[in-house]
Amino acid sequence: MARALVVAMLRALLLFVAVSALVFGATELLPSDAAESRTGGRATAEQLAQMREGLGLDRPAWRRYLSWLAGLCHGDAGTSLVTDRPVAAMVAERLPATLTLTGCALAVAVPLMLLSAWLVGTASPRWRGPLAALATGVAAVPQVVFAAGLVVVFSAVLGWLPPVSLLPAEGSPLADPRPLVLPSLALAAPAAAFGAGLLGGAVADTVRRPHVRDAVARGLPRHRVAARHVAPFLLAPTARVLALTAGALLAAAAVVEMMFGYAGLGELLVSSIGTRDTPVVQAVAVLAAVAVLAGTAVADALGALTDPYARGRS
Amino acid sequence: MNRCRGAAVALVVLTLAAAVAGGALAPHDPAASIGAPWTPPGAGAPLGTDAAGRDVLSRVLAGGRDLTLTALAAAVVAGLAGLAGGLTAGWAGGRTGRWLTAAADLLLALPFLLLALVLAVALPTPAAVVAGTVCGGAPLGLRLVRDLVRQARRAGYVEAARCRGESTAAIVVREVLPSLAGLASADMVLRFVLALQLSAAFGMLGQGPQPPAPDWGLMLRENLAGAALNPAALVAPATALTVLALAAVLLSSAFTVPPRSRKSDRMSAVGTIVDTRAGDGAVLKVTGLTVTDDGGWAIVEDVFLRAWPGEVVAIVGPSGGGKTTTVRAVLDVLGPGLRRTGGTVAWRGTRVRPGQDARRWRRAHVGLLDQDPAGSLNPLLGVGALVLEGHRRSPAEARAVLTDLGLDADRLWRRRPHELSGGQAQRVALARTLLGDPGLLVLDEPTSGLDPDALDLVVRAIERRRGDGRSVTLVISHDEGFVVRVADRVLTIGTPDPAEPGAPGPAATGADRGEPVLRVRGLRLAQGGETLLADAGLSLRPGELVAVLGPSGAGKSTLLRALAGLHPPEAGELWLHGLPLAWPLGERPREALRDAQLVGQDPAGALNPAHRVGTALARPPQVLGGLSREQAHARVPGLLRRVGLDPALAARLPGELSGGQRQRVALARALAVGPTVLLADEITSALDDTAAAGLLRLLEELRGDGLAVLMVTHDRRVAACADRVLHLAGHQPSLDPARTEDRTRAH
Repeated sequence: MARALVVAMLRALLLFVAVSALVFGATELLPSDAAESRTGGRATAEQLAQMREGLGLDRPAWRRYLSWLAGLCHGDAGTSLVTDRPVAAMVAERLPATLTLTGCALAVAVPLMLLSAWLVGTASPRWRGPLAALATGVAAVPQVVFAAGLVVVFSAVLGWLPPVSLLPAEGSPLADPRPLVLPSLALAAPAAAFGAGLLGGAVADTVRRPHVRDAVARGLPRHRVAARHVAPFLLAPTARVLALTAGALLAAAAVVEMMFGYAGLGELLVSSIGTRDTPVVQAVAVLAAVAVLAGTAVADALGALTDPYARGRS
Repeated sequence: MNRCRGAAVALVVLTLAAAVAGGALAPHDPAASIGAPWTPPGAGAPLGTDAAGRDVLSRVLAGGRDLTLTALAAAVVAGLAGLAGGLTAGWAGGRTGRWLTAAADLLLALPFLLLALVLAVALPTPAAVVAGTVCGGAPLGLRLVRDLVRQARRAGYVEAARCRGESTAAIVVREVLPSLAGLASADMVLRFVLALQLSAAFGMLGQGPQPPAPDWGLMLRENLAGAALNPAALVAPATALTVLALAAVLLSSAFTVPPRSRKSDRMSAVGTIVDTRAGDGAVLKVTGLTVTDDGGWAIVEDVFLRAWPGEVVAIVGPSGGGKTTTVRAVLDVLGPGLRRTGGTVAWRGTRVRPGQDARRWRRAHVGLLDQDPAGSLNPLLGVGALVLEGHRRSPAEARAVLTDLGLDADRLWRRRPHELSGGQAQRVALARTLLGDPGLLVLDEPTSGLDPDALDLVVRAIERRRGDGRSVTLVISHDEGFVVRVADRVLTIGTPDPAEPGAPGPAATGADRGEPVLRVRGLRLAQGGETLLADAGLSLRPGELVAVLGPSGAGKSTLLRALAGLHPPEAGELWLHGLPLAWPLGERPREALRDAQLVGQDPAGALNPAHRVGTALARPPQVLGGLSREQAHARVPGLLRRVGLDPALAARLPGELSGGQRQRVALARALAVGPTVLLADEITSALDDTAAAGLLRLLEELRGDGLAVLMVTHDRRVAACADRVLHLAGHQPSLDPARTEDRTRAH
């Protein structure tokens, strides 16, 4: 069991190295580098060379990757090419808003997902097909459509909520929760449908296992069968689906934040992509990837802990 | 089925065409302002105007082109990448497969939207969407195709192709790709949905066509603030995106719809039991019980069953005749798709209604021992918890029952099922069934699932209950010897079949038929590091039928696969027609490939779902017999007639045949090249009785022409037709000649 935990940690670490290299490599593809961006194309070749030396850009890519990685580990993500401010500070400013938004979305999505997965998985054969198709259909609709639909219903028709979610300059985003409602729902609905589709299959597989059928045949009450013979086997798949959902949600936050004008990390990411502000893009992407990898590692660890065959092996 | 697929394709093509070419129908210039911002729908503009006073209808018509084209390109690239990766991973297996799978898992762990956004820093938008779709979608396709390929590799039609010596490329192109075409296309269509989502998101983020050019994604963001003034400016592009996405999902599900099998696949006979004794004093009374399936077909009808205190009642009948269904209907634990539509059950004079009532009755009065009792144990619970669950009994009583069954209760109390041996697990399940001392004990095929020692314990328990004046035991079995031993009364299910399956006896055989056509010496077989057979020998003479019996897992199928060249053994020598033959397929000459033909147990997987019967039957003579296409096809009707099928079936797909017909086609494919040895693996097990009897009669005829048959079976009635029977004893890896029934020695 301890071995499984170590393996999960090592795997996450390895994935982190791979992902950070991927992110770094992607931004390396840019034809212009930081020196050109800063000088805005007005400098001479000599000035550029000097600046590159000052920024360490003349070193080979792998050395720059390593020093960037080392900086990240110390919480130093470099300085923005556009604002000249430390990237870490810019990220820290936006982090609470995004955490609040994704937290609210998860709070809606997870119960909805679990409920629909249970319904899909335990439905009679006649209903399982249509229910699963419904989940697939809902998950197929682009996120932006959900956002637009919610605005039309709750803002244009009912007039309950503002169509855009501008945050107050000061204070916590929770002080006035109204701007949070539509973005959270727009994030939660497709995520719940996607997760329900994945988890519904796991539920259906579990309830068909022989020991569950036997428990039903022995006349145990439904709640007892569910709690003792079905739920323990769903822990690991649920954790995995939750980790995936949380990751997808974090990425989708970029779209939803842009759509509603909500000043979070996603909005920072997208606007930095527009200005080719690579240090910011790198930092936000790596942060999101770390969150996803941590979630996956926790899910793997949970899976190892609830593995019925783990006990007795060292 | 094909019509539904065609309609879906037409619908999607139409939708795509509208999305791409809709701009031509635009009444106004989509980029030009025609009025005030966010004017509601009116005469000049049926959908009103947008944030800059442009015509919404024109913008919706024109705004899908770039988005759809990008998504299409991305879907094609991602789909092909997934297909190629899946084929490689699934076919190569081993290290290549593991690395590809690991790479796919890495990409799946990351949100594809994030990857696409990061890539958008350096790449133009269409390229970023393609890359994002490949990263997020290709791994899904890779996994699906890999699993399908792995499945196909084990399927009967691929093994048959390997056995006739086809090249890997030919197998992939001719057998594997067509068989997974449906599901793989469905999956590729879903890639389009993913690409569409990405494309829409990128448009909304302003990374698509630059304003004032129209784009559905961008329209959504631009018009969000004006939702109250002109909702149509939001609803129209949102609807367009939804229609496109849902059309793709519809197409995808049209590809996954399996071909509907013909109605003739249904059970031919309806089972029934008529218990004629008067019902006075019976504790269990089942009256007029009827079970139907989803299609409204009756599975069992009008079952009357009575049981008196202390009685042991056996229900016998052919497999598939509805024995288990009857008993499960009585207990109200029918499987999915079956419903009890009539009849009543009464226990000790009280009616037991389906639902809660039946559940409480089962818990208080019924013990059920399933066909695979060890499999019914929850792998997460310890022995103690397993035995006590659902009973209101003390641990001491549970220990007593366990000890009574010969288990060391104290030592095993905390162990989980996987820490028990197979025999121990069976006894734990038995202890759980017996602990409550149930008023009604139901044993489902105890002779097929239990090892001999556990079976003895069951018989002891039955003896104890007999005549105790209160309890009833129901035994379901197809083993007549066992039934005669334990039952007080035997009820037969089903209408008696005029064609007795045991009809072709070993009558005309017996005498020495000359040199063995197949001979094996010193065979050692292993699977997954476990030795199945050691130092086994075997010989087979022309026209002889030798049955191989033994419990599951004893290596019966592996033996046949080894002889067919699919599973090289650890050691052993093999002669065919007196000449030494190599074990691996690749080293066997063409004549040997022709001489020994394998027919598998699964009629569903034996034939490639994508090939018509005629194609499947014409292929082996072309590859092994050197016939031309025309010559091979000309022989198909004769082959079909030889196995008792209508030659018109040559134009059908396997999905349109019944199970018995499929098995006959598989047999015909094996006979197409004129083999001298037929290796038959449980070829009757998936068939109903009439079909099985017909197949056995056919084998009898073929043996008359000198075909030698080695047949694995678990059905003693099938074995009864054999000249000799070999027993593969469980966990004792030997073809023990001392236990060989009949007159000839196994060696």
